[in-house]
Amino acid sequence: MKIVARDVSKAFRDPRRSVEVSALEAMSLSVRDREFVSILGPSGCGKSTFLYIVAGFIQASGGEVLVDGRPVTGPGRDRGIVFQEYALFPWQTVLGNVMYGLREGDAREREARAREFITKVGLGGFERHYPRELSGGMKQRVALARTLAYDPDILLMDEPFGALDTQTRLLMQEELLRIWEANQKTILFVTHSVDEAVVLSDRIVVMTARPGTVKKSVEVPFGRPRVVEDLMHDVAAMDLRTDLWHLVKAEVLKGGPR
Amino acid sequence: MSPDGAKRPNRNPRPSTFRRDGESPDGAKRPNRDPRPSTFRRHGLRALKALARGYSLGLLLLLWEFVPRMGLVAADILPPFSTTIRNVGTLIMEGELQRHVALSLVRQTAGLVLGVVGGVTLGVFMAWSRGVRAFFEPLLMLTNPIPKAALIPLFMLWFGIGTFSKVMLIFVGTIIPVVISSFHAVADVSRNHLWSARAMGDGTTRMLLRVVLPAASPQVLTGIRLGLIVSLIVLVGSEMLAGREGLGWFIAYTMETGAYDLTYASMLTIAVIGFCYDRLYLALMHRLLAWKEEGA
Ligand SMILES: Nc1ncnc2c1ncn2[C@@H]1O[C@H](COP(=O)(O)OP(=O)(O)O)[C@@H](O)[C@H]1O
Ligand SMILES: [Mg+2]
Repeated sequence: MKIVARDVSKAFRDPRRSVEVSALEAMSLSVRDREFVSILGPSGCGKSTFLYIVAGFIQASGGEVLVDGRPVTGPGRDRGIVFQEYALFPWQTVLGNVMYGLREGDAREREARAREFITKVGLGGFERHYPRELSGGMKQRVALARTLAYDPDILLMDEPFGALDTQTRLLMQEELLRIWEANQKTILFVTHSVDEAVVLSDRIVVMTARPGTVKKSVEVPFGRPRVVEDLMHDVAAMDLRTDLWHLVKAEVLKGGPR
Repeated sequence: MSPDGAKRPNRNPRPSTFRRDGESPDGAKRPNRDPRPSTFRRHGLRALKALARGYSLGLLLLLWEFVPRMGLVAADILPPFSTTIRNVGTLIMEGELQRHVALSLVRQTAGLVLGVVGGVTLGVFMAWSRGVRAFFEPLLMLTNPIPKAALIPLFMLWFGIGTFSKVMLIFVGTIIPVVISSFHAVADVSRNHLWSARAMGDGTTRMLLRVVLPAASPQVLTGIRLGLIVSLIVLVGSEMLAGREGLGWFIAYTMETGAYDLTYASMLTIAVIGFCYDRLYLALMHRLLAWKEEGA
């Protein structure tokens, strides 16, 4: 097992009401090496919180997370993160951003490696651009390149395409599939989109409403390489989406009126 | 902190001086290829506008020149502009002016550098440590509203009337706006930026130098600009009140001895220095913050 989470819980102190908000409760989850697992759940159920605990950004209130058998005590270069937004350094060019995490080799080698990954995500020619000059989709490509370039074993992705328009989002999903199929990392992918989870994952973990825990773990039976369009009209995929939607819907409604 | 920290709007106000003509004030992204006028026309237009902005100044200088010439005011109370320029020239030739200007600038630079280094350091510590913040925040709130010129006598009492006393005064005058702006800027650095740096293996030092300070730089540089203005005010004020060197002292001296023509000459010098200083600083800010600007 690449990642093992056992009974992870997290309570936040709400400073205004001086009460504890329980975000996660007894969340357990295992991810195999090179598996693509999506975490699906209504917003506010603790998906990001769980991911940040695995990343080592915040500490769990209870339980433990093991990566390669070792307990997580903080962030590490074995786990790369891609956020939904605002993670690129706006004071650096595309090249500067992608080079940021590179440590090996001299400046020339690092630049060459960064350029290679910029090209890989389809942004060749934009090396000297600043993030503000890029569209949302391009920014996420850079964010992906920045994380892939220093080669972490695990990718932790927190709704990375959540802020993009539908078309861009589909393109990015294809892009991610293509990249992942080529260099098979372990991916833990947070999303609130049923469609996205079905298209991308080997397995989907559906979470309950807050306090979040695993409601159900669902295997996705479609082979690889996958083509996003083929799954749009595939009957089995439609059934899977319907089942998943029923699971999620029950949790959405638990959260109260929307 | 919002749960995702992501949707927080950018709270850094863009200093208005960054806005060039025709730019949208909110820094909103322009459509890609907007139909701007050609470079040539744009420059021509800009020159015209600059001229238009400068014309009130021209009018003032004309008045300065001709009011005393026409005898409306006695020329020893208000020597004409051209005479004042000539006096500046004479003072420079005699080597008198440079000496005072140099000393004043040395004092000002020393105080400013100390204030900036101390201010940014303290601002970072305040943003990162509750204890440090709890200690310094009341002190800052207390001292910030005091007009720094009012501290001049106190500093004379404590540190004498020499360069040290003046440098300390400038230090205090500049550190306060720099601390306040750095503290807010550092506390505002996006959580995702910090976490991204950590995820890529950064230790505190690398993250501070390569993420926190660049992210905070727009606000910090604006704070330093405020400090710059304060530094010139307290410098000249303290020199006028005490000592026997420096530009401020020179002004006071010419007043006391009734050499009003030289008073005007030295005041003109100060005005030009202050203006150039500010422009140079703005140009530096422009360069450092090029990543933030539009249309680059
Ligand atoms: N730093 C925090 N302080 C207090 N409450 C928080 C904090 N972060 C998250 N929460 C709360 O924990 C719950 C789960 O949040 P989150 O993990 O961001 O949900 P999701 O990513 O599934 O939308 C939410 O109710 C949220 O308000
Ligand atoms: Mg989230």
